[in-house]
Amino acid sequence: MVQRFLATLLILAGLGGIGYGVATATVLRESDTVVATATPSGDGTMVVTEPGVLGLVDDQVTVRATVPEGQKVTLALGSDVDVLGWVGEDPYDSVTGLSSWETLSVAPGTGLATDEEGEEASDEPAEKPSTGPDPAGSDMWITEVSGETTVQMRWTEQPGRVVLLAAGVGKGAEAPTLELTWPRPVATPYLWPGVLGGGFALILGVFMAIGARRSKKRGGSKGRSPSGARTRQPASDLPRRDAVFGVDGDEPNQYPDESHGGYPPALGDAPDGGTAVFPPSAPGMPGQGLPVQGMPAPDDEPTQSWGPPAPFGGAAPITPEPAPAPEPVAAPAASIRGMRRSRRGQGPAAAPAAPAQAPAQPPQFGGAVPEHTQPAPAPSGATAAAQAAPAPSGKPMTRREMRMREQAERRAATGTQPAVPAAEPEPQPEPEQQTPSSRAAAWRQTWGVTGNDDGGSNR
Amino acid sequence: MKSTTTRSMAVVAAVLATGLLAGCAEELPVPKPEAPVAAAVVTQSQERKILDKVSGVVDEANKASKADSLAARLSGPALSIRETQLKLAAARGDDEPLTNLTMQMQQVILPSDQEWPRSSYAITVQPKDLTTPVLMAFNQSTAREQYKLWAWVRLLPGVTMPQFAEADLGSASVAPNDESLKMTPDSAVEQYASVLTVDERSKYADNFADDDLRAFFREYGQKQVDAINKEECGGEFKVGYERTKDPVKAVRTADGGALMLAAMISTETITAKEEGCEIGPPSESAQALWGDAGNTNVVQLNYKDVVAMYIPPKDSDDQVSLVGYEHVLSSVSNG
Repeated sequence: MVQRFLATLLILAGLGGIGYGVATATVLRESDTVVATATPSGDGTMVVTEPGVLGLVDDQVTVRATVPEGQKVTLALGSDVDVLGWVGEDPYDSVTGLSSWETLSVAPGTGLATDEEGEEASDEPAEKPSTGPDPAGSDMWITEVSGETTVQMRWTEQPGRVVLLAAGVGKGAEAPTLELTWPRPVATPYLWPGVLGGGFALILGVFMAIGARRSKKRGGSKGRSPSGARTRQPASDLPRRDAVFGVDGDEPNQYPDESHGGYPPALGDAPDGGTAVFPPSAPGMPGQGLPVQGMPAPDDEPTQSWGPPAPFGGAAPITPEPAPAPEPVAAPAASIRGMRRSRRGQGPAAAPAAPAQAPAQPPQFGGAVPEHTQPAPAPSGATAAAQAAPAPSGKPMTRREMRMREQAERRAATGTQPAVPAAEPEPQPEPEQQTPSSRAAAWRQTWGVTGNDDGGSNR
Repeated sequence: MKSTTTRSMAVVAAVLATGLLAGCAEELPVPKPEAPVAAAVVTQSQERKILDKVSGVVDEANKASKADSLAARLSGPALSIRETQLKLAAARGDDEPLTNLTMQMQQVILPSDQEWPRSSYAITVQPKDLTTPVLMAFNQSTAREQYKLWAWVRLLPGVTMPQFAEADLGSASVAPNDESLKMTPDSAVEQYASVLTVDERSKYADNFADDDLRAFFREYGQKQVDAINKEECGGEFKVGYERTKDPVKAVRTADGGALMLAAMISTETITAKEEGCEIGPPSESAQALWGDAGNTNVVQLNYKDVVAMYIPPKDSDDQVSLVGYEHVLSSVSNG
């Protein structure tokens, strides 16, 4: 119950984390522009930015000036000296910076006589129309634009004290309303932590939920609990392992039991790999008092889907050819190339059956064995495996290969090939080590990713 | 497992919390203007645009043979002289009187003064016709005015121009009464007028190096006198210079001296003193302006001039020297 509750909590937290992570990069993402507006005080017909205002947020700025419909407005950029010189004695508004992210602070231009001309013009234009001087066309401007009602210009800040002059022009002109737009780099620092952390929590929760369901079932139908099989595992940890292995079909301990159930030798070999190829047999096995893991049909389903590949594994044993006996002898001589080739063959063909075991066999077959026949040696089983052991000498062995060899030797010692039951106590730690790689292999197979370990190393 | 869950939940909670905090606003940026630097107030690219605009106006007037549009980009002596040249060209029916004002520059001297008026100068490349380069002065009288060609001179052949500050740094203008020079620009133009008028006999003659313009008048005057004397008519040649009301323009040179441009007017008077002698206009241009005026024993030619002079710094041993001049016939009369 607690588990289920925790699982739900985890899933919710996981979804929440993912959702939040995505949200920070989408709906909650800050605007990637800063748009600030300056509303003129009404004094005069001109607005001037102070040096540095244009580059306040970013070097790239888009300026838009708006005047009442139908009036003319001019934007000009020049050095502060030139602009203020041009403005001269006339009243103007000075944009001094940002008062908020949306508002530019505006102050009356400094050092100028208080001239109400502009204000009067806007209040009673009929009585005393002011004429806004037009800065357009001056030699001093770096760039300029004129137009009616609204004009816009882009500017990339350059060294120097460049300021903007915006002027309402003509009779009854008013100072334009300025809008400065800068791009702003917006980081989304919570996207991936949110998604990954959430995903982790979600997966954890899902496994926990599955585990909870299983243990419930198990508690109802079976007496033997996984914790019995794996004494080392704390009970609380098991559900997760179960879930993982169930999905992976990778539970090593499963096989020994199954093989006991009377698998054909050919298939029996696979169990060493601890892979799920065998599941096909599982359907037949249910009643056999397998460890609980074998039981939960739903979890095993995926493994059964591997049935199709199994035929490869299954077929191979039937093929008589690779008189395995001679091969082993040749094996020591196998060139690296040959070995690789055989491994490549194994990738697609044998891997589904026993990814873990596969590496152990290549040495036996050297380059001579056609790729698909590899599983064949399986029947020869223990002896072959035992002989194979020396074969890899001189070649670096992967950890998996070494493990497989170990297993093969063990098997050879017992004389019974697939049936590793005797080794029970020992295999246990090994499967643990194995799980990452074998699980990965299983996943690859499940999703149709051909073993890039093998294939990749080959090319 | 429980502890793992709790831990991971704590992590998730922490992530959520930090995420929410991130919504808080950053600090508002404050304008950080660059410190003002000493630099020309006109950049070279701006100068180029100005030159193109002025040049466009000049070319248009040349094509139309009309001076009406010149005022947009010409002012002061330059406007007056160009109008005169266009009139003369129209009278002659060719463009020989028109100084080549192609504005392809080998050097620009940009202003560093932030106040107005501002002046820039430029020296053209050697024209294809192998006449000497032209030194032009541009003036922006107020901030709301455009730069206009204010005056130009043709440089003397072989003259060495003084050095100026880097164009990007700009050169300061020199006031007409600047005391740091051998003589103030104002007094330089006044003294030089005297020197041109009476040449060696001027009390200021020692302040000025001899130059091509003075030599020209000596030769030219002598030629006129000789021509008249050939007829035993008692020839006499006089030249009189005076400065105009136009202010002088001067710019600081690298050595602390100044390059000065000043507008002047001059009058040549050719007289045949003997009774009964009559003389006519002495040149094709003068002929063109002469019209149907009757010949008398006097020919008076009025010119518009601009002179450019280098004034060395006060402690220099050099003399004030002419670097270029423009001398344009504006009218002719028979006395």
